[in-house]
Amino acid sequence: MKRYAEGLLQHERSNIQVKPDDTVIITLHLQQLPNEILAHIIHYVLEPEHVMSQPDSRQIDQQLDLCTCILVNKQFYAVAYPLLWREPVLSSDLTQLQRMIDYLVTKEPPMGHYVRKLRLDNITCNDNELLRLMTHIPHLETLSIGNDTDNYLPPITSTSLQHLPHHCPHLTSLTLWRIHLS
Amino acid sequence: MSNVRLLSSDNEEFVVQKEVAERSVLIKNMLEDVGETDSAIPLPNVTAKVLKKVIEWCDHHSSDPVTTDETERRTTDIDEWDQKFMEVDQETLFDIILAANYLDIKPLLDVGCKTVANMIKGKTAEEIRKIFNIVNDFTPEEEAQIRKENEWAEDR
Repeated sequence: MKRYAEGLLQHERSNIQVKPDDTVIITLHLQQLPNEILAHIIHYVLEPEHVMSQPDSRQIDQQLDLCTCILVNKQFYAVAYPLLWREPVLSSDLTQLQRMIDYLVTKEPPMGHYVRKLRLDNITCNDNELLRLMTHIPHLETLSIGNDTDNYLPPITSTSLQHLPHHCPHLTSLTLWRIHLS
Repeated sequence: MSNVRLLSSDNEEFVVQKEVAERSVLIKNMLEDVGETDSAIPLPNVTAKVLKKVIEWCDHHSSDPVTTDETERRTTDIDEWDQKFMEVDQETLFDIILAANYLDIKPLLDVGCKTVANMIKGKTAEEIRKIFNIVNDFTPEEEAQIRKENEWAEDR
């Protein structure tokens, strides 16, 4: 029995301990909690510690927490990955958006299907990029483009926007700042 | 005040006040379905050791108002008594979480999950694995691939 349990130990570096008196102790580990409970836990990891923190920095913190979680193991990955994609926050750097689009195009299963909310507030995304992007996020519900500062004019026109209803039929909220529609 | 008898998976019987036992929605519904009963309620998923802890919690919280508001429940901090209560080894902590889930005691499930979440917050993936003795089941290639895929989210 002892040898059997030690064999298991070697295979799994697992939760089985053999005491000197040959009793075998099986310990419950985080890995044995069902995904539904792990999801509950990760949910609380994302709760802000300070209620007063800025919504923007809070979202970025949450995103970084999720990036950490998906690297832990496959179970964490399965639970945290859809959350990471639900409401992606992109910095003003355009290469980030391009990276994300490139990734969406190649990835199977299509992770873009998890995206519900997207804010392209500070990104100089153009019609071509928006068109490429929208074909991969069919369940998008909320989209905002541009912001209200005077010096920022997003290079977006109806060329791309006219295709939104076709590609994103679940869109219920669209916010456009300083965009000239022809 | 009437009492209820609960039977753990390892056949230990606990006699508790009805209002304490009814913190568990599962037990509350059972009692409503069967009405007054003399026989013990079997709880095949909960050992005596864990059931004792759960009853201790239910007893302390027996007169708490039932909060149905999700956001209120979610954002409330763990109070001092609960913090002390949760100072147990990891195995017991996970046992309590599983029992709270099975017995449908949402506030206890929340406290348990928040406790684990606080252990995860602000840690790196490697630190999280270490704390919970989690085996990294990704191949180095898979891990590198994930890091690459996340570049859009991590660059600040």
